[in-house]
Amino acid sequence: METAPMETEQRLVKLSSSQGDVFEVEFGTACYADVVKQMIDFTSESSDAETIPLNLKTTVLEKVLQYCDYHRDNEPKEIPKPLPTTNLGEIVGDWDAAFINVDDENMLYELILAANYLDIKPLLDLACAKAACAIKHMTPDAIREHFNLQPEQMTPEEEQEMLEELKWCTDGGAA
Amino acid sequence: MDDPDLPSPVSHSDGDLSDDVTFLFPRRVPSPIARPDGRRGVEVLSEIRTDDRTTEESPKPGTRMPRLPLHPHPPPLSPSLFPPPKCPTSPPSTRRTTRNRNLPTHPALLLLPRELTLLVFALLPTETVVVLSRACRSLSTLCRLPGSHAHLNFDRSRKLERLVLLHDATPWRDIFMAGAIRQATIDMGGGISVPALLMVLSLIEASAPVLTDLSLHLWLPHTGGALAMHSGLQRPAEVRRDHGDGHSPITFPQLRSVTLRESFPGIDDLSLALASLRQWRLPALEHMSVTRNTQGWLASVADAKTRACVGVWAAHTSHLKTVRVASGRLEGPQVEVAVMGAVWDVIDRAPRLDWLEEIELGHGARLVDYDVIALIHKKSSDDRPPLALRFASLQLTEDVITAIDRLLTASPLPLHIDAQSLDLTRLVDHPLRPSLLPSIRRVLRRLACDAPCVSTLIHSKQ
Repeated sequence: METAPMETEQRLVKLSSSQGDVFEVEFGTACYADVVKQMIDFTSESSDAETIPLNLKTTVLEKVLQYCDYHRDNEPKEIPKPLPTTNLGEIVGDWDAAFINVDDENMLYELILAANYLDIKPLLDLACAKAACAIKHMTPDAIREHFNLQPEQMTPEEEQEMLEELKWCTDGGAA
Repeated sequence: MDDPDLPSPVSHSDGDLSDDVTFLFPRRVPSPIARPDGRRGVEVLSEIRTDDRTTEESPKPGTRMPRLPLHPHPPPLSPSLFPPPKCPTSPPSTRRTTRNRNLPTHPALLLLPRELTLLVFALLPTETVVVLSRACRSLSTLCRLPGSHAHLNFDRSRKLERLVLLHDATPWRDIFMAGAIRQATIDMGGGISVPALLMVLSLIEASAPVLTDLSLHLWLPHTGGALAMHSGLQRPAEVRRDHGDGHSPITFPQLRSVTLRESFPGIDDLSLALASLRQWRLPALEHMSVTRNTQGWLASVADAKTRACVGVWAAHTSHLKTVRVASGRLEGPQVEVAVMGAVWDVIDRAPRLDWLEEIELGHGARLVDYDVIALIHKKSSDDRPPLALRFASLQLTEDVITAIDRLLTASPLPLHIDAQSLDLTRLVDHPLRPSLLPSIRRVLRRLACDAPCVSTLIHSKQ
């Protein structure tokens, strides 16, 4: 027998992190992630006791679910490309800007991976935009510094070759 | 505008949100109960419902919701395009610079899969590509990722399609153009939308001056009215600017090898794709491989359009060395006609065939007619190399043996039939008609030179 919509909506989905922590979330929140939705769709019958394991750390999953829970009822704003400004608040709104303003850069990249993994396009775009903002106005030296890139400097010949190849990026050749 | 009544997230330096954010909906079970086997089980149920939101804000009535999950082993989580997420529990050990010991110990950006890093790059202005390239060799390599060989695999997740479609206001297409793809393997076997198809074609065409090898698998789910948006087979504006109005021929001066595999459930999509491909001029084309998968009532329409496409390609080259035509998994008289028709169109439209060395007939094909051989002879000079016929699945029945005998006897040009690929099952398992034995022996002797199995067969039949 088909489940009544109201009854279905009130059901909870249990998602577990790779560390074994279990989250109970509403269907609407869980299904914001396309991959989770597909997993739910794949199952033929329902059972309250089943838990969906996700290969995400607890802190990352928690953060992702926070995003899903908010945006299930609040459509995210589209992010223009290229970014017109590095002030994300102007682009995506205060909530998203505050949400993605994580101090730990690793968390940001793990959110990118998680959004890709769970197929949450708006979150992927938001996290990528945050990462792009960090790069946008940097000099090569600043990028090296920021990302702690090893000093794998090019030889003058290699740099010249690279600039030749990328002439199309700038009017009148790369600086 | 954001709803002021909605809670705002708080940024936490310690990364732990659960205690501070009162609106936080999912509650983590603080210490999951161990399973009897000692492992922390995913089936541990949360009894903690400290958050009131779920009771205060019940789901809206009438909203269609998915069913509750049951399957304990969900389907694979990771789409094929991108690898599963790497969530390192500890920072990987990488070299540390001496410039600033407070910096993170690894370049996290470079730990992302390339496709995701490109998603980040796609949000940046074009000139940033130069800045990134100058930052280090690794990023430079990444910026020039498609430089030599682009392998695009459109799986069912459509992520790559989205990536490609980002091109409009990003350096994505410019990166492709600057990279000047020389070899491209583009698999749209998972399905692709019409806009994405146009975009992919424009990417290929952007590298037209230097492309040498192309493998293209086209498959479009039936899009119905989508074609109306693209009436006139318009390419995107930037491509029109580069290559004319979308109907002008585009020359690939160095393209030597094309592998085209198409399967179209919809006529509209077929028309759209093949009309674009018909505009390609491939004067250096040497190796052409066409696999057709169209079936059912569309077969005849698809057949005509594909034949027209490969015919146009053949018409503009004098360098053909190998031609391979096959159906996918399909077979039957209708498929035979379509496959052999494509062979005929290539031979018929090609201006010269001096260099043609091999025709390979794949699944669904039958033996070429004498007319094909005669036409090849007519378009060749006297010192042309021998022509090899290869078969992927031709069953050597008595009728086929007889036809080969006639072909070999009457062929006006040196002909070599590769017996390695012939299926001898029928001939071995069935008694032969005595009247055909002379011709069968004659053919088998011709074939025996490169097929020990045929020698064995000859002895068994003598």
